[in-house]
Amino acid sequence: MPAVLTVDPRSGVPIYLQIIEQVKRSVALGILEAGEQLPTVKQLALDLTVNPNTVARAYRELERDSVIETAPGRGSFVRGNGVASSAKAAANDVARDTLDAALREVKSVGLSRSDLRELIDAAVDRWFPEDQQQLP
Amino acid sequence: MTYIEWLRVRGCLKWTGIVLVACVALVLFTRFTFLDIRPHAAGFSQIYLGGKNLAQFERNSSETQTKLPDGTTRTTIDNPAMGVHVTIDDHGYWGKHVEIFQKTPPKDVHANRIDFGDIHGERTMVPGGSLIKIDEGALVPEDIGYYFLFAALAALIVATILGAPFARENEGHLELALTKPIARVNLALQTVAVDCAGIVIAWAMTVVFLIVGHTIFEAPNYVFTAGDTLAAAIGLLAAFGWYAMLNAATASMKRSYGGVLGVAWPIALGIGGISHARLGDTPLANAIHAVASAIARLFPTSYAHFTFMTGMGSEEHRQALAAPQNDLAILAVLALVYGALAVYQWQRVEA
Amino acid sequence: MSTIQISHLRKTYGTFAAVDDLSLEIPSGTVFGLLGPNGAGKTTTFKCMLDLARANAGTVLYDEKPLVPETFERIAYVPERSVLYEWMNVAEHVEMNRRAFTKFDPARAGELLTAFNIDQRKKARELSKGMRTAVMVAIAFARNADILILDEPTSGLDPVNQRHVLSLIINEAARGCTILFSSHQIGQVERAAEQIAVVDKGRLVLQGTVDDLKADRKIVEGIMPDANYPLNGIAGDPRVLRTDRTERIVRLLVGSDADAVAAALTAAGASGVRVVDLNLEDIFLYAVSQ
Repeated sequence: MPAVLTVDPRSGVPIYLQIIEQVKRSVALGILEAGEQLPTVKQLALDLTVNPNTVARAYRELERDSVIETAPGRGSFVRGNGVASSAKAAANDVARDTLDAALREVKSVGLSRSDLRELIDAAVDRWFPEDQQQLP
Repeated sequence: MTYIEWLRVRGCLKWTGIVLVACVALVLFTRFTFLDIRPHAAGFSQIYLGGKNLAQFERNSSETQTKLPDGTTRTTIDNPAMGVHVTIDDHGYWGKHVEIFQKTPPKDVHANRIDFGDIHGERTMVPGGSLIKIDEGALVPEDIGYYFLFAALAALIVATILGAPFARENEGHLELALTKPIARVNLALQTVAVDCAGIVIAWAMTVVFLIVGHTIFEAPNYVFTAGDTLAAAIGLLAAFGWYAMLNAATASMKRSYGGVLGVAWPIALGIGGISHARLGDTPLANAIHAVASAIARLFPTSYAHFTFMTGMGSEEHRQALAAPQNDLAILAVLALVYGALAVYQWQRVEA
Repeated sequence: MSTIQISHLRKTYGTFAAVDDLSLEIPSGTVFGLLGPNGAGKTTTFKCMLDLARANAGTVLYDEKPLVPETFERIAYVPERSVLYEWMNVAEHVEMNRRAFTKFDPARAGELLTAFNIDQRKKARELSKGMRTAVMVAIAFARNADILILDEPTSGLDPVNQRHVLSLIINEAARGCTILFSSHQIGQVERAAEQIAVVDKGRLVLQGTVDDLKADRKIVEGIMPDANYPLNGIAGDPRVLRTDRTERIVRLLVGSDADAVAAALTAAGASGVRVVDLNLEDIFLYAVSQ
């Protein structure tokens, strides 16, 4: 699990957000499975060489987003109940954040809504060719 | 808390020990190489008998030598013609005792005594002549106070080396020294206490080494008098005072304190010299003398007189020193005042 | 567990104010990074905190109590420059700490020194600058102190040992230790510190949580129709901390709500408006160039 996580402390994105994003992504991709134990706060802080309170903050938010659950004295685990749905939710979160960032950039260079739609259609066609076959 | 100071003192005492051991080694070398001679009874007999008589004495004497059960070599010399009978008991390492009986001593002699180094001679008029008794070497008790003079000198040197404990910390170590769980005053006092202990140890080491050195030549036979206690006290207090003065002079310094330690001796000796010298009777000379005398009063070394013991020094000087307890009191006050000044300054030092 | 409160600290040398009305609160169990250019007053602040320098005004409280000698039992301090005794070997420095501090763990010191590859028999004068730093760090981290005050604890160290020191800081932080440290290596502060303060010319110019500062502080950039085109009052917006204009380009340093400010800038007539993330180094440089 720790091998999956990497943070870039020098980026402008807060470290706790980077951890959240990566845990969610791992859950969405099934790298982290339901019931799997996460490293302790201290362990992850040492592995990533980042502040333990920052890691604790990421864990708290992941818990609030129902991605993980923490049993006092036992540690933090990927939520077992309906892992499929939480994986889907996690995937959505990751996708939404990425899209938001892209759209913000798109907007800044002055593209209109229709221009954007064309671009998105083209991009979707390129990235999802098999789905295109099934369209009427 | 004073571990560092102990290390410093230990280093200093190590060198003191090395120097003293070297001195003793030198004494040993000398003892067994060049000077394998015992003090000379015959030589001193000469003083009593006179050179002319001696030759005559030797010509007509009969000499017998016996070994006493306790190992003493007894030599008896008899000269009936001159009416002289000499007994020499040579105890070797334990000393020598000589008795000279003269039936007809020279007319002008009377009972007297002579002391010279470790030789003690005494003439008494006895019925039928005069008896000269001479004790030599270990048989003559020696005043241990003289050793305290040398020890005081060693203590002063060690006091100079240890003289800037606070400045040594100021020189880039306050971040370590002053972030320990101890109040600064306590740290300062403990540091001073350690250094003073070092001075006492150096003093004691010197006395011990002198005794050892002496013991190489002859059996120890010391007397300890009230004056010796005074000599020890004055020597140690002078060293404490000197140490405290140097500490007070350097307590606020962060560097170049070594220079202060270095010039302290020349200055003290120089000022002391000027204050005692006769500079003439011009106004300038008087002014210089007055200033030097005033400054000299600030140096603890100015009060470290041992004249009460040695009997040396001018008559007026001796009178001034009739009460060495005054010196003792002044030295104690100086040590305390300088010590307090040093501690006070160190309270205010900033890293 | 210890909270440190610094209030209105002031320290002058002659007419120069090295620390000028500095107030900081370092919450218990926090890793707190103190940033500032050279001569900003970081070291002087530490010295005042430890009574190594006497403040002209202000107070420093540890758990609401002023510093007393016993407090030093709980504080381990690594000064900026080597304060080791040149004539003493490393083992003697360890011994000195063992005698002075009841909670000092000599075995731990030995482990840490070994990890830094330091031969305890060496005299301090034989050690390089980085090794001296390592000795001081190793000894400080063997103190089991509640509070660590580290002034440039990685200076002179190679990258491997720098990372090692960082791990030690994180380890102590996980133990609940309160850590105040300064470093010119902002990347280290960025990793290890939860909160930071930036001082400049003795004054506090910025304080906050690293992640919050990164989340809130952004650059909003846009292109105006011409160089003198009015900004429609955006420069006066309390969220805008600073406005730079170069020809037609407007660059706003924003303290919060970057997206809203971006929208306002677009509304004011700017084109190509975008929001740029700032890392700690950017945030620091903006703070000290104000």
